[in-house]
Amino acid sequence: MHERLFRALLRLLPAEFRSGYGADMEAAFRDERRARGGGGLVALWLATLLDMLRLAPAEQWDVFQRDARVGLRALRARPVVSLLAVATLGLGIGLNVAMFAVLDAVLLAPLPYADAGRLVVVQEGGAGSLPGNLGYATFVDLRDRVQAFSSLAAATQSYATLAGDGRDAERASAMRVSASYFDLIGVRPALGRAFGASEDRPGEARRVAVLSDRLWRRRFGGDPGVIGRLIDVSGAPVTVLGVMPAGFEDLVARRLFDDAELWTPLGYDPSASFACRTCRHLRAFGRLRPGLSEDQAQRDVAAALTQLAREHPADYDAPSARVTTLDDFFLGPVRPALAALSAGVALLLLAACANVANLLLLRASERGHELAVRTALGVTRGRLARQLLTESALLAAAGGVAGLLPAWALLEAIAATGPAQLPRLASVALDGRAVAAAAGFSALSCMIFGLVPLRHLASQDLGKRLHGASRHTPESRAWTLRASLVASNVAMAVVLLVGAGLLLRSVTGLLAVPTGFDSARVLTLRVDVSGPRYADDEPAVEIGRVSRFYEGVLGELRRLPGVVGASGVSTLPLGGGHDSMTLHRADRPAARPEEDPEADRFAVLPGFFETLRIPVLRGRGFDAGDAQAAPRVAVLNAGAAADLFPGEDPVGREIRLGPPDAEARRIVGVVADTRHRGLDSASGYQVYVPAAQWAWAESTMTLLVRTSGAPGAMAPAVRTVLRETDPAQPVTRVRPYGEIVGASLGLRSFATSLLGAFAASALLLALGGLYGALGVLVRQRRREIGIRMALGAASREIRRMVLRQAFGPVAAGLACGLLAAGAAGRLLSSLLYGVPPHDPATFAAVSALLAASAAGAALVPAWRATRTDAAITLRAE
Amino acid sequence: MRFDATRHLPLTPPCFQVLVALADGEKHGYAIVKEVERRTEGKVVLRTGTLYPILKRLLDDMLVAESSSRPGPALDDERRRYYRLTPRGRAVALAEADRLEEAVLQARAKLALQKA
Repeated sequence: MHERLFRALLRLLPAEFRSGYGADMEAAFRDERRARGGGGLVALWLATLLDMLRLAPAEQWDVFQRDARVGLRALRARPVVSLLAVATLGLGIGLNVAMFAVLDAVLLAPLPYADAGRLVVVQEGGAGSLPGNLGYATFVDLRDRVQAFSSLAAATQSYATLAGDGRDAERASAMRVSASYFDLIGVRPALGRAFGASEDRPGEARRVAVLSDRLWRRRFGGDPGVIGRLIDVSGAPVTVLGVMPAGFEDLVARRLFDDAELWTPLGYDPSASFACRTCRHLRAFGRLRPGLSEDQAQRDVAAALTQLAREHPADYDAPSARVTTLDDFFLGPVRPALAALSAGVALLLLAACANVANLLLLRASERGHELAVRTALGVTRGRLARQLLTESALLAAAGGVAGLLPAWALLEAIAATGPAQLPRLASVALDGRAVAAAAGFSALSCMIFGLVPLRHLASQDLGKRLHGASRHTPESRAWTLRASLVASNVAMAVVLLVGAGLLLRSVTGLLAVPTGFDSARVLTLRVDVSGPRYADDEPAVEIGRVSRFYEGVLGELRRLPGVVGASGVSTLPLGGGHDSMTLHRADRPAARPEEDPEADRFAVLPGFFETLRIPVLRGRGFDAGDAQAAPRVAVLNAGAAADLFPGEDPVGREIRLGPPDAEARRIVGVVADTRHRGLDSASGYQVYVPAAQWAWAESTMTLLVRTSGAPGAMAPAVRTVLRETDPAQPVTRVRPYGEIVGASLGLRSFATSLLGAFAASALLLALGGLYGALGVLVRQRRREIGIRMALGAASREIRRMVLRQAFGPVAAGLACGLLAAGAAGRLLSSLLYGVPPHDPATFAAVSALLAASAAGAALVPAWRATRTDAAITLRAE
Repeated sequence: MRFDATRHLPLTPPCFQVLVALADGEKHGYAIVKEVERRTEGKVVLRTGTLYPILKRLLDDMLVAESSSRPGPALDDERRRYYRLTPRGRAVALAEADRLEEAVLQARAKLALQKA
């Protein structure tokens, strides 16, 4: 038994060493064991084990070093093939490393909150409306009634203009949050403290704020003395209570609250008009009690809402609840795109491996003679296999190192163009984990492509090789292997091409969707009017001041040379924001107002329809006459007009926005539908009102400037106009409208460009593989071709013979690729728009593209075959 | 070309012991271990992990050769390999002994000088 164990232990040594000394070592072990008898057995085994643990790695390393030296020599002997292999692997590995880094940062890294798995988003839905925000009264009741949450917080967006401190005014996005927010996320300020319940109340008490580290450093130079100081926020004194930690990236603030940098208490007065149950504008977040799932919490919230609906029937209509973990809420929508991209990039690595395998096969067949000589010298096949594997490992390692360059380039591109839906893209980096991934991908690809030369070795009769017998016969078996590699490469390219093609058709389809407005040559900029110069307790006074500010700005803008028109809107179509209200005919108030349909509301400045070239279908748009004191007017979109006034002329009729007691507005015109919530979402109801005629001052507006030249070029002049009108009013987000429309495609166009790049790389690899394989074939059949030509075969026949060889693998690859693409279409379906996953046009176009480019790649070797000079070839034999 | 024994010097102590152990005749691996242990009165104990890499190198350098002559069938274990010292190996071992001797002499002389 002891000897058997020892023999097993010997397997740790390289075969060469074992065959030389293994038997002697065994005999020595047996003698020693006998000499010691039963007493020293434990000590003997201990010493033997330690000895072997030292000996085995040293001997293995020794063999590897020798193999590596031989391998490097072999790789250097064919520099072009080696470089091609390293570059191919580098591309495949590099793109996978980049994708890994993205997945690592976006999907795998934990959210920046304590015990983030228990954080959820709580949403309220109703009949005919998707789950969304809550009213304040609902939030308070859920907080008191639902036991599933250990805490519940509410938040809403606000903006703050920071002034004073001897610096320019600056506009910052802010979150008004209930005092429970900081406890809920489990992150405390690094400096000072967060606000508590005593500050989360109406009046003076709520004039406190917590700053983000970024804002603190930018505006207050990182001065710890700012704690407890009064700062000027939108014209009011506010005490700074705390500063959040430096590394804290509040994903909620970033994604849902316009990258908020300031937190102030919600401080609602429960009797305030905006605190009502139907004033659904608060986002609610909960922390699940330990051991409770989001499903249980969802049932609890739904039950509480049902109870609330019984108590306040006028405020709820068949309420429903949705509780989603924060993780799913943020990452759920991007998972399909990332999954599709990961699958695509993995295919590309497989394609790269297939190509390298083909290159190695070519080299292996050329080295057949060398390997045969070494076998004749007594080198075992196992030893040769190890040698070939070492060479593969060297190539893979070089490929891994080379891959860091494309990985870095792709990451730079992703960081620069990545869509906003992908959180934490800024933290994507080529760090230690990415380098480890590169090593992993290298090892994986070595296992894949390294197998092929081994198979080839196993199938070779090296003895015959030495006698020169098979040097002249066509290596049909090697060709079969090579052809199947080409076929698999073609198949993978087809899958990627089909995926990229489907996405491309979706994106071009979406870009061709009529938006209903003309975004070309329009510059957009956000302006937020605030401060004591405008604010007043009397809304009418404030509206008058704000309106005069905007009228003055628009007047100046229209006078600028190069400006064709100027206007403004409260919510920019396709800009990402929504503002919806219920809508009904003034002459037909509903019995249940909560059942009124919702419409997107746009408060606009004069000249809006003209500036965006939205066609006025009936009546008129707004003009300067629709001022603050003039009769209330509105414009409907075609969809709302047709549904609310079927078969009637809506112009001259009246509607109301909001509750039945809201002001009636006379419809003065009907305009074409515009896309607002997304290029892929239908228009729905849209109502336009003059900003001066709204119930409160529309202080935040997006100004629109139509230019005769490039819109970006007008930005400095436009900024100057605003600075001269009132330097205290900050201007943000100056962007051409076209960019915003393009960005609304976000994830889709991102996925399309990446998958397109992967597909192009895969096509290139497939064509390269085909070209290389045919080249080898032509060279190996040179003799046969020479004889055929000597016997009078026409060039045409020789060409056809080579092309016929190419046809098999290409056709097989195309067929398999189309089948696989059909099966994989499901992966993409959530990203497609207006294109079925099995779109015949895309499949046909990919087939045609592939057939044409394959024919192109095959023609060169085919042409070269006809250049074979029969006499020279035969003489060389 | 003449063989230059000094090219292999200095030898590691275990390597020197192996060469010396083979000086009086061929031995298999375990016998080498035992001979070294006996001669050094247990002060030098060779482990297999040390012995076989040394034998491999000595064989590669042709300081040791495998012996084809084997003991009678009664005493033999066919698994064993027997090693013998080559003339080169003997020359290298002698050169190492000279080198050590000289080193010892020099050290003695210097230490005695200081004592005086």
